Amino acid sequence: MTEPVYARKRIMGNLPDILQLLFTGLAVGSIYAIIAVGFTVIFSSTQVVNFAQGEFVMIGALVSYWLVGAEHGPHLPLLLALPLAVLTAMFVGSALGWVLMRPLKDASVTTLIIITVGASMLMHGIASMLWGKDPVSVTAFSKTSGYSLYLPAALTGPDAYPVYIGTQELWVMGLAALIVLLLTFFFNKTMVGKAMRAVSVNRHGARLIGINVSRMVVGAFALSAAIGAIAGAAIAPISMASYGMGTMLGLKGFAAAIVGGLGNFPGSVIAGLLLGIMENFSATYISSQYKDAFAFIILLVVLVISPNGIVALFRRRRARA
Amino acid sequence: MLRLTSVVTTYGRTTALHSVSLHVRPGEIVALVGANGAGKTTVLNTISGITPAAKGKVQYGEKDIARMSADRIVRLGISHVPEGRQLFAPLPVKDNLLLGSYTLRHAEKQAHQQEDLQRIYTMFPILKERSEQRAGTLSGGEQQMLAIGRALMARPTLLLLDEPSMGLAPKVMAEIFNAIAEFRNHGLTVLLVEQNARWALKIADRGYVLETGSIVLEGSAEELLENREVQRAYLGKGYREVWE
Ligand SMILES: Nc1ncnc2c1ncn2[C@@H]1O[C@H](COP(=O)(O)OP(=O)(O)OP(=O)(O)O)[C@@H](O)[C@H]1O
Ligand SMILES: [Mg+2]
Repeated sequence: MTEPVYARKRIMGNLPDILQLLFTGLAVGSIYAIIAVGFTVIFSSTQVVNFAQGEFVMIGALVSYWLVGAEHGPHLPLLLALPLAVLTAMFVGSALGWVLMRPLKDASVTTLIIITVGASMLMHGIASMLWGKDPVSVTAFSKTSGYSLYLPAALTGPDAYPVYIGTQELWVMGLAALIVLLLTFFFNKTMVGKAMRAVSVNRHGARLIGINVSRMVVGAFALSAAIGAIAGAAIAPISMASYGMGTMLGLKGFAAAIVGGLGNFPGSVIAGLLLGIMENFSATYISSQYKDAFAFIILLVVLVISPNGIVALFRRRRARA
Repeated sequence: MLRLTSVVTTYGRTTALHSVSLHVRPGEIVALVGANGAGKTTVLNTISGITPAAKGKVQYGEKDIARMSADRIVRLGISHVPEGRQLFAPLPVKDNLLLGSYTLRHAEKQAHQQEDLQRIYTMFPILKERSEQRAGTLSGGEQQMLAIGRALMARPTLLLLDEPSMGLAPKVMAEIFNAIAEFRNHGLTVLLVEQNARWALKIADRGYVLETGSIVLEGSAEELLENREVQRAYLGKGYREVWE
């Protein structure tokens, strides 16, 4: 056998592995993407980086866990539990938005950001009291846990592994895609969505045309909390749920939001997906010990190359060309 | 229709308005002129609830609006075309206009929004041509037209205009001032802030002169145009350099 053919075989033999990593990476990336979008929604209407964003994810996960599967819980069907979990997070989110907008409305952005850090710790504490410190496993959305996808033997050789397509991962991706679509529609086609954008691009102008800015900001917090809670409920069956799960997810989502160019909606989505995929590949091919560090290494590299995020980088390229 | 009585407005420790009293009657165009930093913008911001009065009364019709929130004041029929236009730059021209009618109730919107939009396009045809373009890409004059159009979309009865002539070429300025003079025929009342006193007094019925936070002179537009002090301070030869 000649050298090149052998090389091709070897790459193709890895194809199931690569597809597998791509698939699971995409699922985790979808979660990062929607958390990043949550950051974006709040940042663009307030210039505040909401460090409690990850806690909305935790609330979504733990509340839906308690409503559906917990031993002493009410054992509700998922279809009922999910909206309730989202509502709980929206309530907490609105309360946070209200505190930031009303009693503290003259505080500087830095102060507000520190308040969100405090709020995050508070939610952390309350959750650990309510649900304890041990991670709990959460029932998946569907009964079928997944499908094995065998690639044609011609591509991979006779005894390659199948690619495992997990149903919950499909749910995660589907919900993320749905959220992105709905938000795009909301911000571009509805009057309330446009008003929210108006507040984010020119708060003074928005007040002048009679938009109640505080109410809009509370709305942005509620929206962002809802998005986070859906992410949490969807990822929990894959990752387990615990009071502390929001911290790392929040930080990764934050990294994605920054990489995407803070306040940039499509940028956040793309950066979130890429982050999930790259993290997954680097954990397998480089070192799984430093898996969590990769997100931040990527963040640093992007910040050095293009402080306004990757989308800005592409824009600049295009403008130059 | 609008009456300010002994209004004091402060920014932290600085007092920008010292006991300002003025009124606007229905159907009038009233000019408020004064130099840089006199407090003209502050008067308008006080009326529209952006920087509420610390003391004094702001009455609109029967209501005291001095402590009302900005959005309720818009709902009462006062629209403000601000200094610097404050448009929503990344949004299309058309969305900027439609957002102008944000405060209208659903039924009102159904009944008037499209018709109002067409009226503004007739008034400023360039806005129709540019309707899908982002507001930030418009020229200064077009942006001013858009800011006025956006304010009109709220169906106001009183329009507050802050230096609509700022940075505009004489031709565009003429177009905008003609439009403002026309508002009267549509039953709109106007309070017009200008540094360019000559233009403002030409279309106004009455005027006030504001100096360092106090009204120092008031009268009919003709009187003010003929007043020595006004001529020296605001209409003199050297004036052009001051505001440009
Ligand atoms: N946000 C603010 N904070 C502190 N002081 C302010 C603020 N806005 C205005 N001032 C002060 O209040 C005074 C009146 O300002 P204002 O903007 O009302 O003047 P103006 O007549 O509109 O001037 P211009 O012709 O330059 O627009 C000025 O001395 C200004 O420095
Ligand atoms: Mg001014």
